[in-house]
Amino acid sequence: MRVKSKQGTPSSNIYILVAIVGIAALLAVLSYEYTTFVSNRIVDIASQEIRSNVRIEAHDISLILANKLQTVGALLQTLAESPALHNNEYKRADIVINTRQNSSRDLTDFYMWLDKDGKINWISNINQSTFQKYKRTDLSYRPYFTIPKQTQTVYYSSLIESNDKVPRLYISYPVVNKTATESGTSNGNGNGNGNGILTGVVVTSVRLEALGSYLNNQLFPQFNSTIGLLDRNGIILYATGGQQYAGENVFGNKFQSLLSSSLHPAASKDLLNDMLRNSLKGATGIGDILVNGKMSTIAYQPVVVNGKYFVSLYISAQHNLASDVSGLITQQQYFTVLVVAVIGGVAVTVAFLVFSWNKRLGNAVNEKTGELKRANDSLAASNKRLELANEQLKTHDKMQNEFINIASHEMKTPAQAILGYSTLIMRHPEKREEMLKALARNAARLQRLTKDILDVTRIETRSLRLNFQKVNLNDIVCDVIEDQKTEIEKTKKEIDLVLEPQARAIEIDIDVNYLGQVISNLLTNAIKFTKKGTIVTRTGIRDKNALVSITDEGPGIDPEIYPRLFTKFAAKSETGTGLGLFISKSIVEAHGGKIWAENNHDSDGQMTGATFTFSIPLSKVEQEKRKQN
Amino acid sequence: MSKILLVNDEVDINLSIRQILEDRGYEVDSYEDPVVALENFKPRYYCLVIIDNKMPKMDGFTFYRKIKALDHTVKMCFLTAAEISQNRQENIASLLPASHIIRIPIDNEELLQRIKVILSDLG
Repeated sequence: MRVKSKQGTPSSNIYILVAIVGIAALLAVLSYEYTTFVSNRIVDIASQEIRSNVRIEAHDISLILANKLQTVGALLQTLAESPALHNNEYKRADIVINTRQNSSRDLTDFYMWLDKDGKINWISNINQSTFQKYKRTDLSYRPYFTIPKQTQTVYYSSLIESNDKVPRLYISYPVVNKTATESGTSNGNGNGNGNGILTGVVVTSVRLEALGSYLNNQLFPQFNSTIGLLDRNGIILYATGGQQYAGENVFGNKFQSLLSSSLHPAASKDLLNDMLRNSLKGATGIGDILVNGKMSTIAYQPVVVNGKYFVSLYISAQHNLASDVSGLITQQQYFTVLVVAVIGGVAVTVAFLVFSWNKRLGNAVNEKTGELKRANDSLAASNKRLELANEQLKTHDKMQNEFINIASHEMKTPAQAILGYSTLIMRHPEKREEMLKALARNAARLQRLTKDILDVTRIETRSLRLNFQKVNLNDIVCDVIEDQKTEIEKTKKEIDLVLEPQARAIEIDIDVNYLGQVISNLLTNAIKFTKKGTIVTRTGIRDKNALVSITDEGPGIDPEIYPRLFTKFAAKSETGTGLGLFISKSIVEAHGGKIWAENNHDSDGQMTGATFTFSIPLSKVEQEKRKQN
Repeated sequence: MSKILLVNDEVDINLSIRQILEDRGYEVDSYEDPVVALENFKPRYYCLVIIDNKMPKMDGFTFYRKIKALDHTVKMCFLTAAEISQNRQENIASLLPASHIIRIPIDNEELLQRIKVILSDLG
């Protein structure tokens, strides 16, 4: 089976459809991949934006924080160097301390003035009763006392949980009397590098939450980032929205288990821990962490205060922008795929329509071709019929010519005899009788022929007129036989004519002349073909038909002639026109009867002659009925 | 005395034509059966053979050839009652000139005239 054909066999059509679908699918896949690629590029770019923003923010905010802390430190310094404190002018010192607190109250909770032993001299903005409670509380063990006392310089502490559970940073500054020259010691602590004598320490506390909020407010609002602050030991100082973790060590079990439970995938936790460790070395860095399918960037920056790495600042931002963008990209992907699928579908439909249209066209063409073929066939059949008719006409013409030849021969022969004898008779009176007989004979022959031809003409033109008479058929037969007996005597043949009537009388309505002619014709034929013997004529009645049969002992009917026996052109080469049987048949059938012939065989199968039979219905009604058939 | 052979299966024609010829002084041998005629044929005996072209036992064409085989000098003519020739091969017109074909019925005098012409024909 041919796969490809101009007409588009079903298999090639299917191949084309499959190819279209395949191409559409391929295009869909390609466009999907391409948009995925593009979206990934866009996401990368968006992420890059976020990363740089985060880094910038980390940088800026750390500077801001450092600045802020340093400002507070500077404030402390001015406080510590204020004459009021130097001179232990308590009343004035109180006011100065209060003023300082008020100026930095967005970050600081209170200012404390500790004496050289670490006992509270004053707390800012405190009422008398509370002051009485806290007055002279010993805070000498606190690092924010001991370290500045030792270093005689500013001290920034890490997170300290105070008695009231509020996480704070403490900044302290030593109050040093520079005018003193002797290096005195008090309470066992060395005075280190001081140029003067320590008279006390001023401390301020920074509420971490306030610090954190302040820093949060420095964030660019559109960025949606969060802040984290860790001290150098990994203690959480501040985390946006996570103050409950302040004071926890990031590497401690509690926080780590929290990370495990909330960070998916697990690799993100390890990544985060690495970043934290790195940051706590005072490093700057940035990294991406995948949390629950969303990417976040964390940038960390050490906050350097007074030249020293104090805390680590963390800014983190989710790649929401990227995920929004990627959401759009996904939409676009689906849309592209849908478009390609739709186009593919349309193409398939169009192809399908084209094919079905083609098929319809093909069917129409086939139909037309079929019609043409049928027309051709019918033409061919018509032609064949015409040919056949032509052949029949030719045969007919041939037979007609044959008939004319024979008929003319039959006419001209007696005419010649008559012509000849009629002239001779005058010259030969002695042969007068002989010649007259010949003349009579030939005249009669001519007359018979004339009648036959006229009968044939009447039969052909359907103008044969029958005169019906009610007669006894046996009588008619008898009469004809008698006439023939006379003729036989003339020929001197040894032929016996026998009549065997099988019914007494056969009453029948017939045209006596014509039917007599039939019987005569049959007898004449029988006599002609019998050299010697008996010719038996039988009459009878069977099935309401009168039957007449003539049996001879002649040579029988030539099988070649037999089919044409009763036809007009069954001309034999013997004398006679060959019209006799045709005329007989026509006359019999005009009476509604039938005529037939058969050869006779004896018990040994030898042919003994022929029998010609005709039947005529007895009743005229029946005759009419049969005739019409 | 010219001798004529007459072959015709029609008795009356045979007899009447024979009589006409004999009246004119010809010697006539006549046969109704062409086979018998051939059997009894005497070469160089006859000056004319008159044959019927349509005879039951032998057609004129065949008879003509047989006679010619026996005696190529004898003149032959046909007596025909046919209207249309059936067979090209048997078309006597191709064998003989028109003068040698006599169509019946024919007047006795005319018949004699025609025979005279045929007999005086050279070749």
